[in-house]
Amino acid sequence: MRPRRSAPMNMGQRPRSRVQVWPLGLLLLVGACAPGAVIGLRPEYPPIGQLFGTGYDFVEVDSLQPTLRWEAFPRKQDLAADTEGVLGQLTAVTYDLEIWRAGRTFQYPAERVYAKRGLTETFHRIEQPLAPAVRYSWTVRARFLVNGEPRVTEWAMYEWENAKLRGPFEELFPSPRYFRFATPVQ
Amino acid sequence: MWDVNPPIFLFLDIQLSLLRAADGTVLYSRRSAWVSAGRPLTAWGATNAEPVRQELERAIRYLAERIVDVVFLLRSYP
Repeated sequence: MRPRRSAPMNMGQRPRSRVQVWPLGLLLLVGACAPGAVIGLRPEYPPIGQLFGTGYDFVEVDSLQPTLRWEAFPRKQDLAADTEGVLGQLTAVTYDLEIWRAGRTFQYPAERVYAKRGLTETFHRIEQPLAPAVRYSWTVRARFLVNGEPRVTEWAMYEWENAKLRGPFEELFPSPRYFRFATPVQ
Repeated sequence: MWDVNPPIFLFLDIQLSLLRAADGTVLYSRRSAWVSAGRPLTAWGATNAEPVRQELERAIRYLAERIVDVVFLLRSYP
């Protein structure tokens, strides 16, 4: 199967741009994700639980400068789906990493506090100590070249369990479905 | 329990469309939203609503990055 753009064509919708103050939709948008199912690269450390339900808590990492780990790109399933050999022309794979401080309400990513581009390994030790006893969201993606042209994968996150609960947006940014961890008290 | 001064979130709702200049055909369309951290209404309104302006600037910057990603860079794999 040929790799495709992530969003379907959305024809016929009336274009608009507006600012809304809408606090109540978050509960719906945060919940209902498939247990263990992820989009993008799967984290190896810290381990992921579930976004909603059992394992909802943020996983406590082992230090204020944890080493985050994730699977390498391309994965077996990427190669298996690549019938046209696009990934055979793939070079210069690196990784982008972002960490967001979680908000106090809904534990939603509130502020991007750490970002790295072009990491060459599938792990990264946070360079500056994070704040103790704070909840964070994090995500990672691959950046690479195909025939010399830059490409990225989608930011990694939990998969929706029920597409009907996505709400009106094709994406919410920053995503409430990024992975989560909490730093130790000290 | 309900908070008497609950956090309020700023949503920036955008409709991204890529049109063919020759005939206006929509080649790509996507609806996205930015959501801010929650703040009490009084915090949003402080210093003549400067936090609202700052948050809008931040949202536009992030969404601009995202538009570049989805239109020019993003490839999805299973």
